[in-house]
Amino acid sequence: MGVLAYLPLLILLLFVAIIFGVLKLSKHRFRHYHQYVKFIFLGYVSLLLIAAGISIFVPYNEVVKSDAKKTDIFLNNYFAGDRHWQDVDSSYQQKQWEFSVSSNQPLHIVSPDGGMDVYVERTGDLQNKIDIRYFQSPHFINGINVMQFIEEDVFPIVTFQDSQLTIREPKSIEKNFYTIQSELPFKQFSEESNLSDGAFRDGERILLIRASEDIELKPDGNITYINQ
Amino acid sequence: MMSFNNISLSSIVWKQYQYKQKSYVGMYMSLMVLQLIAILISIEGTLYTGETTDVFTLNMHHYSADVAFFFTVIWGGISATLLTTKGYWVENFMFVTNRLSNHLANIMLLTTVSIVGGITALLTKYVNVVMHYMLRDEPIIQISTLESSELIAGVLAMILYILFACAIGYVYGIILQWNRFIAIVIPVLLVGLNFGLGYIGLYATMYDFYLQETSFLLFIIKVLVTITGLFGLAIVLSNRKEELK
Repeated sequence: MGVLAYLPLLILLLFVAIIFGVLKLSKHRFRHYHQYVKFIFLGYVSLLLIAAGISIFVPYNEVVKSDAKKTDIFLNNYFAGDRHWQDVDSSYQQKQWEFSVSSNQPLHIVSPDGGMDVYVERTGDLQNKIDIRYFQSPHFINGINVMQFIEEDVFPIVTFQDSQLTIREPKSIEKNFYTIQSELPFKQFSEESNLSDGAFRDGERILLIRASEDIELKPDGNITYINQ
Repeated sequence: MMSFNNISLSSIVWKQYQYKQKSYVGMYMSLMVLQLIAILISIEGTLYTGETTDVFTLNMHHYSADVAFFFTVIWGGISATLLTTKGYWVENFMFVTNRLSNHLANIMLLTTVSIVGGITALLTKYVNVVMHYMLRDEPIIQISTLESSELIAGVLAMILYILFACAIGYVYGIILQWNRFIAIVIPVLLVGLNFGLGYIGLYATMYDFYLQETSFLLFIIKVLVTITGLFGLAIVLSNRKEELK
């Protein structure tokens, strides 16, 4: 059993010491002690009320907490599974690129290894062009879709030069978020109490490269062909 | 010389309550000290969630009054226990009083401090919010504003939890005065069962019974019945004590 197991007991003892100490002080009853404490406590309550008043006017980013389970979508199923990527909700497509290519030259594709899946679809509806689309599903932390705050920061970097398509991951970012949340007794009787199970969900990041069937592809990195 | 004035129980209780409000003013001071500690602890947020992926690291800090609420609940329990200690008990005999009026005045006092404690605990969150804007540039994310009915239910629940802790502390204090051996055995058993035997159904049942109750009406009934039972037990037990002991 670690020291942490005794922490509640130590905290309790500390509390007893503080409360007992303050109450003992009150027993001294130096002159006008009652008035003195009343004045200090009213000052404290005033401070709390002023803070509550100011907090009404400070700017907030209002976000509605949602159940990740309700927006449960596995993007990969639309690319590697039995469904078609065109059926994906359009809001999940975050960015699109188009580059002109020559069918005489092979297309080199340099893609990163990591969290983003890269798919390639050979199609007949593109002439001397490649079409690239980036899809991102919501990423939930504590019931908040954090993608709305960082979406552009996590877009892949796509460049095309000299018949080489280079896909790079963006530079890793670190962000702090500050939220104001309801207390436990408030959550107990609100909808939030039902969200705990579905509050976390990792988002999926997928890049789709659509290229004409007559272009020779030379991939360097992990890519998956659709319908092949 | 004997007095033939008829004094009603309610007027005695009210006078005692007023006296206790002034005499035990230190309770408010200790409440303030603990809530200020809670505010300091919560400067970086009450809770913290971190997550790292290939492309981002997100640190989510949550401001809420949970720490202040938790401290206030413990404060309520300890203060109620201290109310039953000999020093405070003897002071009651400065009045025309009996045990029942003293208990009723104490219950009124504990109800008052629970209301004050609950409301002030809730307000501590806003001190952290204002401090955030004084120290940082990032805006705060406000999540799901509560309906007014949820707000009222939450405030009442907060107050009831504190009063619940007060009732437990009060009955424990009375047991402590009545029989010190039993008073020592109870926490040893509770802590020992938790640490020594590991999981036991009692804690889980208690947790489900009170904290997992999502119907506010049922919660009020459960807590009020328990509080009444605890204060009733305290009154019954103290009747078995000798006077001034």
